[in-house]
Amino acid sequence: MTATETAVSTPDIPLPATQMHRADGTPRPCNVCKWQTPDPTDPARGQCTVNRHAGGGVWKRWIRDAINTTCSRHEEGKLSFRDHV
Amino acid sequence: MTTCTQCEFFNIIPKEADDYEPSKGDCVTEKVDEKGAYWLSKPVSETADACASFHKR
Amino acid sequence: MTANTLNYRGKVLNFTPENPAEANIPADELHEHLQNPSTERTRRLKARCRWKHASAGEFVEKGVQAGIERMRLLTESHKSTVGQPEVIRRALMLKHLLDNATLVLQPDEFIVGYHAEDPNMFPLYPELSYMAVLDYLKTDYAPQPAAEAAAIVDYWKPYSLQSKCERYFDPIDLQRGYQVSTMEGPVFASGYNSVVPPYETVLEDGLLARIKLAESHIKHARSEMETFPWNATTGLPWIEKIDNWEAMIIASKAVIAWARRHARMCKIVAERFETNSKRRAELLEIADICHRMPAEPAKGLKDAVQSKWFTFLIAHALERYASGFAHKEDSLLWPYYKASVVAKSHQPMTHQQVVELMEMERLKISEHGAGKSRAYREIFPGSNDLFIVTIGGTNGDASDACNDMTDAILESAKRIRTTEPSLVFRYNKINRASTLRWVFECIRDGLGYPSIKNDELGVAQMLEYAKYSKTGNGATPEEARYWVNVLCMSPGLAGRRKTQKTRSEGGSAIFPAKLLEITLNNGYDWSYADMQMGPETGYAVDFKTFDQLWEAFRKQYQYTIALAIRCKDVSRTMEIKYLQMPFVSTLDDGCMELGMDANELSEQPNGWHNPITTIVAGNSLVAIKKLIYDEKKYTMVQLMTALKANWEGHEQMRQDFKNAPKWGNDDPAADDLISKYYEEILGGEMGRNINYSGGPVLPVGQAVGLYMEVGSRTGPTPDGRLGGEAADDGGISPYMGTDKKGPTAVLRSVSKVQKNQKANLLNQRLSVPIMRSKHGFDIWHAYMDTWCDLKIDHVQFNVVSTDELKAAQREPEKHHDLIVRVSGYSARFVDIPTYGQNTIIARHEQDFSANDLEFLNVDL
Repeated sequence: MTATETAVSTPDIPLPATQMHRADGTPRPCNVCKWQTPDPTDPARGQCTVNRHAGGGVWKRWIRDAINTTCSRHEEGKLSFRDHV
Repeated sequence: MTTCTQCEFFNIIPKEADDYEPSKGDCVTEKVDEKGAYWLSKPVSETADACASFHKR
Repeated sequence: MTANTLNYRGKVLNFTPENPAEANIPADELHEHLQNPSTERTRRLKARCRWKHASAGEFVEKGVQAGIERMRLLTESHKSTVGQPEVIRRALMLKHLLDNATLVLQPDEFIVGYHAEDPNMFPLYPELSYMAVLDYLKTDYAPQPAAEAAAIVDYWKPYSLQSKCERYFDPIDLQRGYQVSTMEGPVFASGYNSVVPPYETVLEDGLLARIKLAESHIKHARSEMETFPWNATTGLPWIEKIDNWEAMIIASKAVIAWARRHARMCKIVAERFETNSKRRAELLEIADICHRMPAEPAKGLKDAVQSKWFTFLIAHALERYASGFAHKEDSLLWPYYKASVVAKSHQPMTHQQVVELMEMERLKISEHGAGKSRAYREIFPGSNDLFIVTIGGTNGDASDACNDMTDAILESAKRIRTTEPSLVFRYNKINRASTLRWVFECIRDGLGYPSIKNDELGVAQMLEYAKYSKTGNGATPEEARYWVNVLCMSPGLAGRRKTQKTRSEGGSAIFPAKLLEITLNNGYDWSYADMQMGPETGYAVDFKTFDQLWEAFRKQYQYTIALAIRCKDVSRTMEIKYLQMPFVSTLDDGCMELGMDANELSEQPNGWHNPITTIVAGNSLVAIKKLIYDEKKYTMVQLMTALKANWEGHEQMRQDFKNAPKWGNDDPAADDLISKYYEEILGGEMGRNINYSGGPVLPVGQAVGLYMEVGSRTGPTPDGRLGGEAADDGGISPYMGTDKKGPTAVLRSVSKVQKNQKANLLNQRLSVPIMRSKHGFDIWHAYMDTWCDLKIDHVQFNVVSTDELKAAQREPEKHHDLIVRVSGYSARFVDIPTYGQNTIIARHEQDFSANDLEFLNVDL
């Protein structure tokens, strides 16, 4: 990695609460959040769809552990298929 | 004990049928949902206990 | 909005509707006025059709659910056949399933048979992917009772194809594949599959004759084994063959018995319950057909259609799951059309009755639920599964293959308006005008099909692949003319032998847009998975020349394509050992002759893999080369900074990258590099991989709905795209809205890519007023002849107005008949998520300028 590059997350720089992060035993896990959709292959994983922009793009993020991950934008529920990709 | 053989929907399989077995029959019932009615057929034994759809012959 | 008049060759052309009544139909509801079922019966059948469309992983219709019966019966059989040869176990599994499965009969239908215990259900396949079935258990569609379903999945996990294959891969490689971002998930992890069943055999011979053939082979084999002196080298191979033939016999007898159960059911309903005398007589006719089909050769068209339907259910849903409905339907059914309609010697019918029968077949397919994994419930949004039928083209003697059966198939599609099955028309300049007119009318009615394939290119391809045959028995010149699309795009043989039997041979995808993204970041995926996704090929900020970037991309592509093809061939190896298909094997003359299972025998290689999201990467490479390496207007550091910020704060820079030359405008500034990228990397590198059948694997540029899914997993790209936006919608299609120089410029761009390709999907959207005018057919016909002369492989069309699409977004309940071409398949627009709908709206509606018409040399 060159000096001009930084990783998305490094151990000593915590992610903002608005971004998904590991939180073991969280009462607000991704797997019951309305913005979450299951992984296309592995039901133990997931995809976060909360990052959407005005032009209509849905920028997904992979969720390694949908039970022990959360973020401050968590909302319980289920979206209609019309609102997913 | 009420068994399938007494049911209106039970039809014994004829001996010449490829899937013939003694006591085996076709249970042919009608089901209805929002889109309409349809028929289902599944194999049952004539000595099997009657189910909730039992209708005396 | 396109103009209604055009000056061309001294004339003023008017584009008023060919059908004057259309002038009174509001433009934003045209599609709702196009349906015209041929009879009240098919109108009723459509009204109560139990659609199985899926979108974003969900089924659109209420009440659709996974059934448990197939899983249960499969498991019972597996437990009771321990110790038997695997192929015999597979045959006994099929027998147990067919002997005990619940049969379904619906009112009004003439073609009977369903593959689950209820017409609202679909079967699952725990013997394929355990992850796919586990996913279902967490959904609203979970099979019931839930505890039994969970126990079944637990039982099958160690025996599943997925478990058998996973152990041969590094867990990191598996994790990369499972994400569906750089490559489509391995076939063993989804269970997705395709097959081209030899329908010709079952219609021509009937299963009783195939049983006799297998019995005679066994007799011969046993006699050979009993000769003196014993020679192990020639004697032992008979063992496996005997097992295969015995399995074929078990499977075929089971299918006959199952079909005759349908006969019995129809007779019981007719004699004991049906009160309508006409329907009673019809049920008795169906009973007679089901008693004889597929046991005996078909005699009339009704026989043929029912025999084909039973075969389809076994090959695509009961013996094993497979997507598709691949067959050369007009050629297959033509002898029976002649018997019934022309000679009226068997099951006499009129042509209009044939149209009705084809409408009924289309509705049967529309109800056919597919127990696919989540990924495949996402990537064909607004549709059911990929049911694709091929028609047209040429016969073995190179004569026109179009006939009245072709026309009946087309007319039925136009009238009944369903999304499935899709049609592929093999276009040849000798095809008769009357059939071309039907093709055109389906297209201009906005069905999105037929999609058009180049007939002669397909023939040449079959002959080329034949050279690699492991058995020296590849396609003959006559056989090479009998090809169909295996699924959406790739040609493969049809007929009694040499057809593609598993998707491990050809299929699945690789995603260049994501590969380019990780190429810029040393193989690391920062935008979706936050993990290393490929080899460490360096950071773009350190590449001093464009060639270094090019080579880094090549290495990422090499790694992923080798992994993807290895996944398929490992799966093939396990399919040969554990997923034999004794019924399909019965129908293949090669399998029958040689005593081999259909997964194992390969006489005609047909290797391919689908690059999807290709043009995002291509346009990005053009922009980088121009703006960073050639003009040095920006540095790579600036570009990477802008991408990591999703272009925020870098609007001018984004505009510059967006405005860089784009594919599809006949512009050498884009086309030269992009053609090289297709031929040298996408095709050249892929073609170095040799698959199970001994032939090269070549690219079939595609999209289906994966351009949406992968777009959402791909961050911002140097073509100016924002993170999470959809990618390009076809294998060789210009990116939505960037083809600005007219439809013939697109053709000229596309025609430049010729080497190292198997197929490439081209999506074009044509103007509604032009297509629906009296000039529409002549313009389209000239366009198609030009396309053919330019040796372009494929084209498919949308003909729908933006007004109508937006009206459907506002009031979906009023637009149920609005069908669009997504890519490789058609969908009900209102069943597509908004994200996908917007990509179709964004497609450029091509007007034909005077220059375009001159290029096409059309005489109006």
